[in-house]
Amino acid sequence: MVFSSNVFLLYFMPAFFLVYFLTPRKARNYVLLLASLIFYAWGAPEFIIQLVASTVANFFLVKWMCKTEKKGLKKLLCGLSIIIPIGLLVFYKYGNFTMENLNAILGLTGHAPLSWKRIMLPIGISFFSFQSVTYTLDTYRGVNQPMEKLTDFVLYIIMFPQLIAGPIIRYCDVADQIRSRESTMDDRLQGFYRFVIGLCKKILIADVIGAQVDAILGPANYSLLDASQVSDIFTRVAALDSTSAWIVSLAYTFQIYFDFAGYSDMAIGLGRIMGFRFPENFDNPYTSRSITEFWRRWHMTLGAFIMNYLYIPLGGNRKGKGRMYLNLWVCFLLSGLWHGASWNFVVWGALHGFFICADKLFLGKVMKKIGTVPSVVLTFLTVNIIWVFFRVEDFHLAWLLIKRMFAFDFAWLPFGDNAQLYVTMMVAALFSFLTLTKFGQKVQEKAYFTEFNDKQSIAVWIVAAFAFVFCVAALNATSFSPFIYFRF
Amino acid sequence: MRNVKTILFTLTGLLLFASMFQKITHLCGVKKLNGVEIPSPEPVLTFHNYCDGSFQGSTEAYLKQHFGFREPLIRLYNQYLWDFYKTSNANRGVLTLGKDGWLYEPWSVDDYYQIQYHQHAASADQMTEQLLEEAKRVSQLQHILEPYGTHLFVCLVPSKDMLYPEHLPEKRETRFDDEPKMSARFVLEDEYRRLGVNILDLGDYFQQMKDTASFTIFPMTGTHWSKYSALLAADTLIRYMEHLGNINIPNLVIGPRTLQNAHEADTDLENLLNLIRPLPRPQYYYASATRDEDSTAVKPKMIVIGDSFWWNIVNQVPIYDFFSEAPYWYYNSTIYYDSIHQSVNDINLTKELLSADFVFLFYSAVQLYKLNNGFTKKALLALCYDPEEIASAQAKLECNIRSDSAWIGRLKEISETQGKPLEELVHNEAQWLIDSHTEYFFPALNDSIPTKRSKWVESCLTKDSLYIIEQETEKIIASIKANEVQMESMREKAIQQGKTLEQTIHDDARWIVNYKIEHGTLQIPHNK
Repeated sequence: MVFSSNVFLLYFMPAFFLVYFLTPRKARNYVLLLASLIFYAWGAPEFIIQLVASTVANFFLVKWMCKTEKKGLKKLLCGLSIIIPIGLLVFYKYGNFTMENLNAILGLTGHAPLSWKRIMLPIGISFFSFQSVTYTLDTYRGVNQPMEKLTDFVLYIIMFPQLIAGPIIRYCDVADQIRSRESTMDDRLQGFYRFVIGLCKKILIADVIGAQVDAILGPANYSLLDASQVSDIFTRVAALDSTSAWIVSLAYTFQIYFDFAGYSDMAIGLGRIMGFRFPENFDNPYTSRSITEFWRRWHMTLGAFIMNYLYIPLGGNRKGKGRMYLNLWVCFLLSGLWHGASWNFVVWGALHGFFICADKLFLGKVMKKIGTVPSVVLTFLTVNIIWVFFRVEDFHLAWLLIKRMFAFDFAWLPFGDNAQLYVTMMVAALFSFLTLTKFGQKVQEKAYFTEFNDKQSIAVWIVAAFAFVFCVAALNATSFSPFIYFRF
Repeated sequence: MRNVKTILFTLTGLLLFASMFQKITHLCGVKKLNGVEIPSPEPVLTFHNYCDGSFQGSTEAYLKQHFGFREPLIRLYNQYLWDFYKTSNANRGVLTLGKDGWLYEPWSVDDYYQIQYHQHAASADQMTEQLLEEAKRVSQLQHILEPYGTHLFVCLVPSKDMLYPEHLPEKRETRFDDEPKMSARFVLEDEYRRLGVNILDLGDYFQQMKDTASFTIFPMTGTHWSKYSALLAADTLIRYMEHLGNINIPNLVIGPRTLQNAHEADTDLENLLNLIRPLPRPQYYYASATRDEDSTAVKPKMIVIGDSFWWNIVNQVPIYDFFSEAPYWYYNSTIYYDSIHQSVNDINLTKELLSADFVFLFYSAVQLYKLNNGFTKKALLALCYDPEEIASAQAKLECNIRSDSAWIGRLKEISETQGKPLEELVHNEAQWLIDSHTEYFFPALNDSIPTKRSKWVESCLTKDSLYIIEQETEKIIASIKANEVQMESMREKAIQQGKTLEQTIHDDARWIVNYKIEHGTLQIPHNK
């Protein structure tokens, strides 16, 4: 189930909050747990048992780990507790990728390919497996005590607001809130406003722009297409003038940001309604002055996870410069792979790793010297070009699109009849760069973090209610395209 | 302060439940959406479809069509798109927004740019070849029917893009830009003329009057020709029939025209926009249609096989004032006759064709790629071959399919995955082969004018003979039905042959009639 669906918006969410708030405070976690199980069982029914079983096993392993005094056993249990979620992640997410590459190698060496049944990727596995790891490691490091109640731990792993697309919440950040939390009227209203902001980002910006991106580049997953459909995409991209190619790449740059940030806003908002304070996941990443800064602002919870649970354990910058660069590269290669099991994601991660290293070596200083606007523009354009490898699974197609971008055969308003695309992209650009100004920062502060007085609340509620209704309208109207008559 | 926020939170709850509440109670009246959409079936939960996710998918699809306040919400977003961007979601598939507020069907635009064939054939050459074959079949039919007093002709109906290309949207680059271009209209028109097919070119007729006409031939926001143009078309059609059949049909009298707000039929494309505020209604000319009193006039029987352009005629003209019978074979699929709806598969095609005075193909330019919806092939087959011969070819093909292990294996796979009976798939496969390669299986149809006739057609050389045969058939059917022993045998036969009981009885009765004609025990008049 995704947040931007009728099932969630018109049925699941109202029913859940009604039951949740009618339930006595002490029992609310059970309601949330049950709702989360239903939420997940709707989207990945075949995986729910494995998810719950692995979570329960982890709970007891960590409990045992904390009780034992033997260091060796402690380490062994910690390792086991990490291997279970990471093993599931590797199997489900990288099984197909591994077999495809293995068969490619076998083919090159003249051997017959191995047959295997394609594995379906369970939704949210990348997120909850990482959360499970944070629980084990934070407990192992003594940052937090283990959960006393099994249900609280299962809830931490599969709590529906952040189950599908994060933010990745460290156990230490949310443990106390699971045990006890307050939800004031301000929290509930702010949570609703935040949810609506996220919904608007997703439906009114990301989906509108995404439709044009898909019209040119096809669906994100090319394995679902046949050869002629892929060939059509190549033909379309090859025929793009440079303006169109830039528009498509920029459109995707905005699409992915507003899609992902919108989803995070919705998750944070839903949590806030219940009294949770989930960490922020995005901080205006396109206003970054370098790729290093970009990663401090983009998917911040993933950045924090990689820093705490990968980069630092690998030695971070404590083992010399050479090792530091290697560690950075490894982190970004793995980050790329975490985003998707395909070589284009590896390239995407490697390019980010490259620019991070370049920042440390010299680029960071250059960017500082050239001033805010040029450095923001350069960083944004770099990110934009690198996103091409993220979006386009086929490396040759990605390269073709980049070549079209730099073919310098510009045309005036190539999608001239699609005013909605241009307006939406302008709105996306406005909100992406607004916080470069003090006025923009104030607007953001007001919209996200200020508690409103009565009059302001009424005005904001009216706007939020209309925006919610409008999003539901857009969600359903976009797919409604009836025939005038039935034809034969 | 607390009270205000509590109220707002309560209102939030009500807002979230509003849709569900409306769905259950239907408390607020809502204006229905226009247009036809393919309904999503109500999902049925089973363990299997839940596990494979299809239940969830179908539930989401179903809920998308069935939630409270769906209609006003869709209209709200459509209005936003229209007011801010002058665009519409319908523009993505079923509607094309032209210039100056004109609306077109997308296939009409494709036809104008001569790329519509891509939806019907692999290449322009293949489409052209198919059209030439179709023209040949029309010519064959015309020649076969002529001696029986049935005049076949083609009425070329214009489409909106032909007459009003100036309002079409700017041509967009498409992946077909480098492909050859072709128009079914041009290919067919040339070939029909070459083969001497009777043609009434209404496209040319309206094209000539477009610049001087004081009325709109196609309304801005409608699919079809305007109602007034349809009246002129009907009048022209009747005059053409008079000329072709050398008969006097009652004259159509078009009353004085008046300027009125556009009728629903002239704004049907606008309906697809599904806006909250309808567009301002333009004014068009409308008139009434009657017949003049002429005691010498006769009312012939005609059959029209065509697309929806005929509706604008049949809905205005009192058609039975001019024709004794006027069944409308809509896309050669459903027959509309008075208030009766019948499938074309349920009629005796030969009898219908031979008993008509006029048969005409009435398709607009954009529908020509559909090759008259298979009418000509079916008609030729019925006129030239006996049902037994057709059934025998079908049975032989089915037998071949069954004995080909690869072929039957593939069908078995489909049968298992789609849950369809294997026999049905074999039957359909053979049927498809016959339909797509008719001339191969029935070589007599390759002749420029086939000389072969089915026994029945051979015997029905006058309209009177049809009546006699029909009477005789009915008599035999009645006698079979009255005899329980024969009925029992019919039931067994029906099961064996996979036909309905009625069909089996009818076929047997027809066989007996044919036998009687062949052996001279049933005398029928011939016109030769």
